[in-house]
Amino acid sequence: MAALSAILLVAVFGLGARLVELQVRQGPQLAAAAVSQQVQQITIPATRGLILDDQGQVLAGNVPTYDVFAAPNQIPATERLREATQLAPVLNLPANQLVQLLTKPLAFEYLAKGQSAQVESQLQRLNLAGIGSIQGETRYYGPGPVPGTTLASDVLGFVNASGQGQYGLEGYYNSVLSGKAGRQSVVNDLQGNPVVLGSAPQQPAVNGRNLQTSLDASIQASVEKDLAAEVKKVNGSSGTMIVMNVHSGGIVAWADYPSYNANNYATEPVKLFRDAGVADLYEPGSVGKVLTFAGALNRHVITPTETFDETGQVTVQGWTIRDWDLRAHGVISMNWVLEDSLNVGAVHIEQWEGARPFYNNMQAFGIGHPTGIDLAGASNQPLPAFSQLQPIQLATASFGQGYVTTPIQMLAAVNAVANGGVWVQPHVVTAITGGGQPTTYIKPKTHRVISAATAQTLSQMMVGVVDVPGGSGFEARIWPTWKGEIAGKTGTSSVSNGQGVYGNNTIDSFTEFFPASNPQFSMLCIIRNPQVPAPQREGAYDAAPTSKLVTQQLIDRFKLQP
Amino acid sequence: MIARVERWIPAARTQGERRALSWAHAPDLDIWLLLTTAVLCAIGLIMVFVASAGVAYTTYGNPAYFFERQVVWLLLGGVGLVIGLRLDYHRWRQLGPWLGAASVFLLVAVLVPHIGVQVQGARRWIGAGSIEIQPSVIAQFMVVVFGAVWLDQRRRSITNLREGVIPYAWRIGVVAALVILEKDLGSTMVVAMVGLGLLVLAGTKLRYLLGLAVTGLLAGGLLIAAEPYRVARLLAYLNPFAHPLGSGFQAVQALYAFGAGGVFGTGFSSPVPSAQILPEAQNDFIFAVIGQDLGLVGTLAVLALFGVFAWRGYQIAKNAPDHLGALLAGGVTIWIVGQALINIGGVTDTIPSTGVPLTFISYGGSSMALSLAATGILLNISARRRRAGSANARADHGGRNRGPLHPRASGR
Repeated sequence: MAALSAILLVAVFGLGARLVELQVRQGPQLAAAAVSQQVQQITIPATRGLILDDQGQVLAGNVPTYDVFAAPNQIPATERLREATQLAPVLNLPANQLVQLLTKPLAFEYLAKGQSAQVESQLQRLNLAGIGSIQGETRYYGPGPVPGTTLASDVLGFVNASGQGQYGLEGYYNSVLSGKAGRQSVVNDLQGNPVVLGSAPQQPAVNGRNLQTSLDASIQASVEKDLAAEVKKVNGSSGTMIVMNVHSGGIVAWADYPSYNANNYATEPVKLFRDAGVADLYEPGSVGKVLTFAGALNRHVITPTETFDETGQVTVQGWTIRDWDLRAHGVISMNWVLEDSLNVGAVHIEQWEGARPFYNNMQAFGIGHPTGIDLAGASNQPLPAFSQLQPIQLATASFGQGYVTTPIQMLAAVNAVANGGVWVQPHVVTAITGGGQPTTYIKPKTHRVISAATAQTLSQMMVGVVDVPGGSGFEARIWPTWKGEIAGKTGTSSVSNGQGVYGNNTIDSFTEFFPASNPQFSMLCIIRNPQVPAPQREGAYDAAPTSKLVTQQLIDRFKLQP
Repeated sequence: MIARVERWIPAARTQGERRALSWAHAPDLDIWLLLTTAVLCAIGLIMVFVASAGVAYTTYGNPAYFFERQVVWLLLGGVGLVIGLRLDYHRWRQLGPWLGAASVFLLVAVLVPHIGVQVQGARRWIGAGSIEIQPSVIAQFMVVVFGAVWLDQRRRSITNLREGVIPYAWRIGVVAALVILEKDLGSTMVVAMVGLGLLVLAGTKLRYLLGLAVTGLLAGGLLIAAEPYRVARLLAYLNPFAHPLGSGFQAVQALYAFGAGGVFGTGFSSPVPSAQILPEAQNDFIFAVIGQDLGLVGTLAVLALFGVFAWRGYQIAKNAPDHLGALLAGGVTIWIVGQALINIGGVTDTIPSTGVPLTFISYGGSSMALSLAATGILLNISARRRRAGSANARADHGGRNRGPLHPRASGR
């Protein structure tokens, strides 16, 4: 036992002496060597998934970039100046700064990040020892038809410098698109010599998955162009237009104006990133009458041809509501109420139907409920509880004022009429592909709101809005080929300052679906705050003609026959 | 469970003795040993978090991943310590053979694919969810307990080569061979060290010891030569700076860490990367992290704590009430302190690094839990130390203590 104790004693004191040797005597020398090694692993970026349109055209892709590095401790002191002089013009850095970087006692040091393929090929020609590059990538978006923008920037979003998707699809599907970065501890210099940074095992990157969308690049481009032209023409502040596939709920085009250049997001104003189509809450105005008519027709409260005496005004709780033209219209049919967009008629319909069924109908059409669309940044404002609603609020709601909705909520609601009475969840992505995994198909939610017969009846009434001379949607007609096939509804809502005080600004809109006999596409066009004389400052005169242009594009693009 | 354990204390037959032996009322319990162990475990807990937070965050998204598991193992170890403390150490006479059989079974089982978990080429873990146990650690514990019990029973033939030394040597040899099959040279060395140490304590002849030692060294040399990575480790030990980014990487980073730490350490948020990039920082190389963060002050403190542990272990063995107690106490002390010194020697590049954990401090569950259980045994023996006229002295009821109560080393 004594012998064992002695061995232990010697071991303890011996190790103590060894520690003093390491930490005190050799300490400074070892510490200096420790500081000189910093980077141990390089992150290998994963390839971000592509975003493709319905034809497989790339909407969001990647271009290679190169991070140029040096392994200073592998460059002989005598070579530093020569290498720095050769690198300076290629990397566009001062030679003396490069010499400083190359003199650092490091195993690895970045010289310049995010260099182009052109710089990379120049480096390859230089073929310097101890200098290398690591390939990465940046997101690239194709040019849009409006100068200074990229195509579909509002629906796509962008990827920020740290690789995080922001806004739109990039934001919503970031984890699907991004994949998982890998790591490596050994990189090669230009001459192929290994630069060993550490011993940790290499971990390959897992690439992201691709998004197959229902967007159509050519329709998207014409929507962006036509919307921008109209907003500029009427001197509006902004515009939003969305085109949707009636049956599938797939988004065909989605544009905001003004838009931005997603390749250059860092220098663009942040307020442009907001995607008005999902984020803006607005009062839909007379487009909302579609829902009022749908509910009343579905409950057989009214028929298209029944008539009543329209006095031009109605008083609810002491508030007097008038028509847009401040006139009495006499004995008119329900058709004419919709075609001429008469607020007084809409209020009567709400009152005949009754508050509770009217309210339930709005809920069923998805007003105040998130659509669940696959885009980042969606807003929603639930309707007030029924018990808290005043009759005046329900009365104004009948013509689309006094409640707010997002453009996509409104379009999805109107689309339910086009789709035979079935609400279908709007969505941009149809399938998630690649990444070594089986394809995931996106199946939108659906629910029936009104009967197919009601939808058919209302569609015909909406055709009247476009086709009847004097109808508010007359500017959207395509005669003679598509007579009787374009169903629409205009809207011109007064803009509230948020406290219930309405000023002179308007939000003009037009919603449409066609062909009425077998609807394929629905759309909503919104022009905000147009600054033109009053008669032209209406959805009938700006949003409707824009929709007509887009309709013609859709007909050409998808070769639709009347 | 505690209540059941209490019924296993046959030594305390009277009410007074029972109270004297109960955990809360053990006046002779070695409080210094308990404190030393507690401080080492606390240092371990802190250092595991410091050393593993980065890796845990990048790998598991949770900086406390290893820390949380260390806490669980510490609690399990605490249970083990209480069991060891409350269980009369003479009961290990009956438990020893079962423990031996179970441990050999596990050692074989771990070699079977689908049962054993292979990590970095070595098949040494038996996995169940996130908790994996290392049968080789159980084998070390078994060698301490079973070895002590066996040598106590054969104490008269221990100077006899054929009846004592050789039967003992082949039993230890079988365990060592099974551990070697798991490619675990470090554990094999610990098994050999404890086996030899117990034989010394039992008082065998010097020439047998030398013979066994030479045999062990030869076997060790062959085993090193047989595995390329062991040769590489040995060469890395001889000159780690020859391949600072290859085979010498771990050794060099450890030395850098010690150097960077200096006398007072860099603190926990050091910009020097060595400790962060050190492979297995929270496991076998945790001592280097202590060296960097806490400096020479920290490393010498840990070394001193193991010194205190060894000193208390020596005292407990010396004052043990009987031969078995002395062997068990000595074996446990050799195991715990010896393993720690082998680890420190390896990390400081004083001896070749073999991959044994730093007892009580390294992350690594089963080793921590069983070391604490063994400490419990040591505490149990301490509570029964010989004292003239004390109840504990009489408590040794074995009636076989005609020989020396504790052995003298080799009769020298």
